[in-house]
Amino acid sequence: MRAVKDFFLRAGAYLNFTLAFVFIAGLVFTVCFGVCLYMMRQEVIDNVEDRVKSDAYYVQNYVEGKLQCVEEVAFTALCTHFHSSIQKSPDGGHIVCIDTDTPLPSEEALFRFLEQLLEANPMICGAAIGFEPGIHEPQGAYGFAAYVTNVSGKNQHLRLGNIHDYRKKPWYKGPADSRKPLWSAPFRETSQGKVVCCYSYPIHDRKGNFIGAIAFDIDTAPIREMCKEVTPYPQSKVTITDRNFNYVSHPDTALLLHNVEEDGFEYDALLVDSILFNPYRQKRGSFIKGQAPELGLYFYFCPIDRASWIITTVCPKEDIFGRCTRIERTTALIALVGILFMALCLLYLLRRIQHATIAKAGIQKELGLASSIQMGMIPRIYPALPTRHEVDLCGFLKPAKSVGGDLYDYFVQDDNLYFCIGDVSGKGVPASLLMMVIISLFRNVARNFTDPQSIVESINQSIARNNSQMMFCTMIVGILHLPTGHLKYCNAGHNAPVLCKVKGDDCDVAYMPAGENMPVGVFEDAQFQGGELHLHPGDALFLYTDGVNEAQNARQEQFGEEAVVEALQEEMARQSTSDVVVGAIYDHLARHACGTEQSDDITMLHLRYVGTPL
Amino acid sequence: MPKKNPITLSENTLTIVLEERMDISNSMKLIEELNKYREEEDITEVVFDARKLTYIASTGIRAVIYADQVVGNKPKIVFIGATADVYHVFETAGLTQFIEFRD
Repeated sequence: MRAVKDFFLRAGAYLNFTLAFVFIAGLVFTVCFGVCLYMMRQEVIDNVEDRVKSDAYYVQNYVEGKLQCVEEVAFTALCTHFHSSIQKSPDGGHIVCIDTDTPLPSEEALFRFLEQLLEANPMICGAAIGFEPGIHEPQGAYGFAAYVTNVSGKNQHLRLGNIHDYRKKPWYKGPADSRKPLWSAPFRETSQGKVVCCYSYPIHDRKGNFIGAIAFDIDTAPIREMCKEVTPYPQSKVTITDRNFNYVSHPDTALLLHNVEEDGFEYDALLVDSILFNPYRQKRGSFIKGQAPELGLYFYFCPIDRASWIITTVCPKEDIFGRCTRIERTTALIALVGILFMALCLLYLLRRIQHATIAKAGIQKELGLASSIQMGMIPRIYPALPTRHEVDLCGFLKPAKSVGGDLYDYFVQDDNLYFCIGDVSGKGVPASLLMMVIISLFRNVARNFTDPQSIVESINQSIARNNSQMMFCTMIVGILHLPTGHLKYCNAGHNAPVLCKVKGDDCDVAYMPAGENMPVGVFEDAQFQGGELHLHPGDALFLYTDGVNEAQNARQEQFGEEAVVEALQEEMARQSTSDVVVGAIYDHLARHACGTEQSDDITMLHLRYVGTPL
Repeated sequence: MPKKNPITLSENTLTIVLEERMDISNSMKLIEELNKYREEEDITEVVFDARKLTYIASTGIRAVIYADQVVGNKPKIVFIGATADVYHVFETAGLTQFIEFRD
């Protein structure tokens, strides 16, 4: 506690403490905030990943469904429209084989067949069927190939064998070379400028020889619309590229068929490709996430196996963490304002505490000084009267606080020992002020009288006059004629003193009658009655205040008047001197209190009449 | 926390119900309360209900004297149910002559 008190007494300490508080609070907040921030961002990233993955699988399902539908159209159309059979291919797949012994459908029939396919499948925007030269008659310069495309709601027929060598075109050459159905790379078809991709399916004869191919163009526009629908954030984009990272779908149609590099991206294409299209991976199991810190972007890749395409979702950092950043800034601002406000409050409080501590220290200092002055007014030497051997006198006063309201005093004048003991009502400074007044009055008034009641009356009149606070003092004033031991006394409402009379080898210890006088200070016109007795050598008088008999222990048990008498009996039997008696009584009180805080002033005055030496 | 001694004024009698102890912790408050009745000239009797009272310190006696000197116009001071110990305190202080003790 002293260290704390000293701290507050140091100049500027409160400022240092406040700065330390701000630093520590700021540090704690920063750490907590940092941890929360990290966890919150992780949570957001996880949520974004879940959302993007879910949307990507949705697109994946949609596109895969469309592509599968086209593949089934091709297979079913060949099986149903031609005399055909299904055979196993060398790689374990199936191939459709046409019976070339049976005449193939006519040119018109084939065009009708292709038109029907277009009408039945809206996403197919063009359909072609071509044969090796000599397989279908009549044929053009390059062979026979029929192509139907829908332009502005009208089917347009083209005889490709008359126009160009269709066998060198990817839609025909691809399956011719690989003998497998395949999806071509996207391209822009010439009639309407649509970005399409083409599915080609090889046609074989019964001997397994390649004799032609059927192909369907599908428009990628619905796929682009789907990608727009699932865009997770305003600034994000969902794109689809082929395996070479050329755009099949992009919000900006100008970038269609262009490489991602032209959009400012540069992927590790080999890595992405090797992970997404790893033949050993589980179906749909691969999903890659990555980020480009320098671009502030997060990337998520998901494959479309059927066409070897890649769905790429690009999310700018500010899109993902935009709300987080706003929350963070708001929280940081609130915390900063809060810490500053707390610091100001702390500064204010600490200054108040410092001022109060300084003021209290000043009051304590002044109380210490007052205590010194008060105790300085009490005679505290022993032997009390070094030049008078007729009496052995010892006084003791221990205030409960710095200053108290108890008093005792004595002096010798004309062979008479004037003494008094008193207890002012209350405690602390108010009581101590009245105590000082009464001691001063006693010293000035007593010298003019030879009987105690006159002294008490005089003091009473002085105190009672203008006593608006109704302060009073119980007191005993005594005058002992030293040569004879004749004692005159006046008890003004004080505890009855204990008289110890020696009777041979024994000692009679008993309380004196209390009397019926009021304390001084109550009524200005109060009359006081006195008493007289004769002390013989060895007789003693013990005067005390209620701090002795009412001394309490922790159980609020009082020391009691009987205990006072018993203690005095012990000391009288030992023929103890006055200082020993007073010390012994105080030891009894200390043992009784057993560490309990002293609640009232303790004052004792022991007077043992020795008598005149012969 | 200082205990409060409830005070009621009925006709010309001011009744104060005392707690178990009447010491510095509640007597000063009682004196403050009594000050409010300084101008009540009609009060002729101040009754201290001391049936619970087991201990009275000098500040408690001061409150009783205060009631006698300050409240109303020299009212009669009455103590009800004072224990022997409490009575002894007043007896020692020589104040029994202006207090009426009732059971």
